[in-house]
Parts: sequence; structure tokens; C-alpha cells
Amino acid sequence: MAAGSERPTKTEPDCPAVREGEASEGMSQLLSGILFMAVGTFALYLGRGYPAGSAGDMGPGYLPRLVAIGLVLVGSACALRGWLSGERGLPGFPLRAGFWIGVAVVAFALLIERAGLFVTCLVAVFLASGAEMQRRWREVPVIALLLAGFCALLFGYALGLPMPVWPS
Amino acid sequence: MSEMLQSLGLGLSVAATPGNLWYCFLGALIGTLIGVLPGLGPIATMAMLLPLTYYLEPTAALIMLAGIYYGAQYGGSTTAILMRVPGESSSVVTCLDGYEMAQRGRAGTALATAALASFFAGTVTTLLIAFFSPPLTAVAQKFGPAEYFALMVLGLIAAVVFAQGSLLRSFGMILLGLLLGLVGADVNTGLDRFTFGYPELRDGIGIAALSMGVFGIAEIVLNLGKPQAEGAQRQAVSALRLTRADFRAAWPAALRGTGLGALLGILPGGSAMMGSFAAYSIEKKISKTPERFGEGAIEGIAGPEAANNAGAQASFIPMLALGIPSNSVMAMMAGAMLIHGIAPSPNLASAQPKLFWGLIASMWIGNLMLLVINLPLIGLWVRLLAVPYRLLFPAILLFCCIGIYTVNSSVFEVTLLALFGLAGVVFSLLKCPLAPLVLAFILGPLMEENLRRAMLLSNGNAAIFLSPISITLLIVAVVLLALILLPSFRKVRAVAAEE
Repeated sequence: MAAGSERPTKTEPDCPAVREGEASEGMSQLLSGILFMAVGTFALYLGRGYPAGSAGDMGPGYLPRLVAIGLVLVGSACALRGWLSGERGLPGFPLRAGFWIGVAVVAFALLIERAGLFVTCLVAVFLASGAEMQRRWREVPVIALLLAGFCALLFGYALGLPMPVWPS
Repeated sequence: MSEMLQSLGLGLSVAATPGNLWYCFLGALIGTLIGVLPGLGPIATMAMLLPLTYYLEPTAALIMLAGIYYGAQYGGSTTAILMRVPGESSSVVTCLDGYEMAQRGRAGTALATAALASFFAGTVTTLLIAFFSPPLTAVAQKFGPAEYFALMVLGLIAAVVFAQGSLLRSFGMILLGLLLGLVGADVNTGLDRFTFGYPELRDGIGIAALSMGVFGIAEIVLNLGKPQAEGAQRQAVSALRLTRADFRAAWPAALRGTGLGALLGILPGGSAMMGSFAAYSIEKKISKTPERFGEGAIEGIAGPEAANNAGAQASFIPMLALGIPSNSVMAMMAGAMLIHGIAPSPNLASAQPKLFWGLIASMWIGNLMLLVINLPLIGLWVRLLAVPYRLLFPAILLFCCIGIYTVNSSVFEVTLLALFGLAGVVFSLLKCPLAPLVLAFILGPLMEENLRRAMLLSNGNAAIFLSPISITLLIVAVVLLALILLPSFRKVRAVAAEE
């Protein structure tokens, strides 16, 4: 289920804002533990060939291996505590926002050297507006044009950053 | 003493050149702006501007970045008081009594108290930095690799102990940060580690990509993922005036807040937020009329506001004097220095006296500017809050992308930005704290280097860590860890995290 479709149950008027879609404490612990274990194991696998050396003459593999083992241990402890807590509330991931913002950034990366700053900014803003829940499509072209123009003027001309402003 | 005044004089002469004044002003102004805007923190902003400072002279760049940090502490309180929206995490407590005062028609008094308390704290802390940095530097110059390693271990442990949230996850994030910091070619042998064959990763992961991703991009996704808050009720601004009674009530609180904030700010892992929470609970505890707190007590604004500003500035002490960043904002400052080819170290004051003292003096000038920017412009800041997030986030996104591309003109880094943005969202949803990650990432390579050097010197004998300085540092780290196991400390920590 996409988190974007979740409706607000209530808005918290108090100061410390409570984030929507948080996992239960136990489940966060379990998942982050699994994540740590996975990264640690992966690092051990990738670094299996790095010479460790000895304590007196540490090789490039010494500390990475130590840290990765630590990560696996901490991760297991974390996951175990989460598992024992028995709480199983899954966090809601903001799928839609995550997807479109990610796409916008990647599009920026792909376009900037070919299409130049102005066009890239236009495209990125259009893509990013897909992340909004209440889109106002009539506004988007205006915002995109204004921002692209502003960025081209400020970064391209005024600051003269080393990037093409127009398609080459 | 006279030496300190002389050095401050040198600093003032550097900070007061027109160019540096301008960047100080610009930093303070941008800081206030992002402090006012919720959903954009000082770390993300510093990360965004980091690449641009590449084109500035190093002193000007650092002055501007520092201005952003303490400016944000000021700006955050304005919206906390007028709209009960804390612009920064450190102004959360200011909401409690500040908004209450505003509701009773005393918004102006609350704003003036916050600004004056912050200014007072900023002035005192600037002097403290000037006073304590040289002796600390002198001690640090006796440090060998073992002592450095011990100091960094202490820093990381303290970051875990004083951070909010789960201990195990903080530890995990530290180890993850260390691992990320080790990515790249090994300094001694040139062996590529964890680079997946990408030559771009041989120099390591860029601090800008990492911090902008987990703080900037992730924040956008999280903000868009939650339902838009309705426009908060804004309170009218009354005259910016303090009565004599207000002043009498506020100044001792500001004094205590400054002391507490500075103390907590110096600690590794300490932050402006911790100071403001601690100051509030102390004011409430020692007050003869604690029932007034939460009902518009002026001490409840003066104390925390002084503390968060003092804490923000005091956290410069370990970075400037020892060369060790103590929190993620300082990690960004260290990153900025590295971009300019200045390695943060205890030699900074002697090698770059103009930069060192200029930066310190600029903090006082910046605080003065903030007083001037903030009070008359409050109307403008408040109106800015009316800018809806749907107009704001595309701009933030573009600035992040452009900024990161500019660092090395590298498309690869922009892709990394997307990756770390995603990681940041996942970590936030799993309540894994991000500050220890960034801190460990910065310290990782330094720790490895010093550990290897220390062990090489001692021929693999761990007894090298038994030197008086390093064993003291390690014992402090162990004591801090032991503290966590005490039930009473745990309770305090849980309360601080919840409030």
C-alpha cells in the first residue's frame, strides 16, 4: 500500500510534530537490526580479499573487518530485541514522494551535461511535482519556468558556475 | 589576558573587512530565513551552500557557514513564539511559554526577550571560545596518534549517549558511518575498498552528497509524504518592549542558560537542542512559582533561548581547538575546511591565526547583526511562513542538485545524492538517528589513520593507549557508557527525548 494514499487521522496541534507512518518501536528495531546485519555481512563479503595485516601493521582490511563485524553484532542484538518485543506495526513508506523526488534527482544527473541548466531545471521541477499529494497543475509550469530562469541567471551567469546553461 | 585581547583585535580587524562583513551578514540572514522556515534545517542549508563557498576565500566561506548555524537558532524562535511552529529543533521548548505569552498579547516582549537573551549568550560564548581555545590547543599539541584516537572514541561515545532515541540504533549508525567513511582508496597501500569499481569513489564518498542526501533530500520526501499542515494561527506582534519586572525576571535565567548551554555545547555530541531542554527544566525546577511555566513565564524563554545560542557557538570550541568536529553541523564546517585544503587540527590557531580569530570575532559581529536583522524584520519573516511548501520544495531540490553537481562537476555525485536521500528516508522511518552517522563518517578516516599510526609506533602493543591523556579520555568514555546503564540517567534521557 502506498503511504501517499494514507489519510491523516488527526493533525497534532502540539509542538513536537508526530510524523505520519511511523513504525511501532519493536518493528523499527527489528528492521533496522536486519538492515545493519545485511550491510555488515555485505561489507564482510566485499572486503573478504582485503589484507588485514596484523595489529602492529594494520592492512587496509583490518578496520573495515572490525567495523563490519561490529555492525553485524549490533544489528543482531537490535533485531533480536525487536523480535522479542512482538510488535509488528509496519512503517508506511512515502512511496510516491520518494519515487518522484528520486526520479527528479536522477533526471537532473542524466540531463545536466547534455541539456544544460535551464532545460534540466524545467524537467526536474515537473517531475518533482509528481510527488505532491494535492497537485495544482496550472501552477507547475509557472513555478518551473520561474525557477529555471532564476537558477540559470544566478548559477549560470551571476556566479558563473562551470556548467552549460543551454543545450549544446 | 592581554594576549587574548590582542588576538581578538586581530580577529576583529579580519572580520570587519567589507567583504567578510558582507558574508557574515549574508550567513546570518540566510540562517534566520531557514530558521523561520520549518522543514529546512541548518545542516541541509550548509550542505547546499557548501559547494558555492568553494568560490569564496576560506575565511569568508567559514564566516558565512557559521552565520547560518547561529542565525538559524535565532530564526527558529520567532515562529515558535508567534505560531507555535518551532523552525528548529532547538526552539521546541520556546513554543511552550513563548506562544503562551503571544496569546496573552505579549508577543513583542517574548520576541525581544528571545533576541536579547540570544545576543547576550552569543557575546559571552564568543569570549569563552577566545578564552578556552588557546589552552585547549596547547594541550592538544601534545597529542600523539593514540591520544587522538582516544579523543575520537570519546566523541563518538558521547554522541551516542547524549543523542535522543535508541542506543543500539545509535551504535549501529556510528558503525555504518565509520564504514561509509572507509570507502575509497586506502591511504597506505592504495587498495580500493568498497568502490564497486567506480573511480569516482576512490577519493571516498563526498561529505556534501551524504549530508545533503540524508538531511536535505530525505527531508523533502518526508515532508511531502505527510499531510500538509493547515496554516497555523498567527499572533499579532505587540511592542518589542521589556518592562523592568520582565528584565529582572529574565536576566538571571539568561545567565544560567548561557552557562548551561555553553557547557553542554562543548561536550562532544552535545547540541544546541540539549542545552535548551536542560535550561527549561532547570528554570522550572528552581523557580519559586513553577506553575507559571507553560502559562507564559518569561524565564521559560530567556533560559532556553540563551542556552541554544550558547550551545550552538560553544560547539565550535572542540572543532577549532582540537580539530575534532563534535556534532554533524561541525562535521559540515570541517568538510568546508577540507574543501579549502585546510585540515582541521590543533595547529589551526598558530598556522592560520587570521582565519581562526577572524571566525571567532565574526561570531560576535554576526550576533549583533542578528539583533538588527531580527527585530525590525519580524513582520517579513512571519509573512515568509505563508509561502506554501509546494512552492518551496522544488527550489530546495534544485539547489541541492546544482550544489552537489558543482562540487566536482560530477554527475556521479548527483546520483549518490538520490541514493543517500532514499537511505535517509528509510533511516528516519526506522528512527535511526542521522547525526551519529554523519559524525562517524567524518571521523572514520581520521580514526583509522591514527589507530594505524599508534599501533605501528607501539609494534602492535595496545599499551600505547595507557598514556595518561589517552587513558583518561577512554575512562571518561567508559564512564559515559556506564551512565547509560543507570536507571535514573535513562529516565532523564527518555524524558528529554520525549519532551
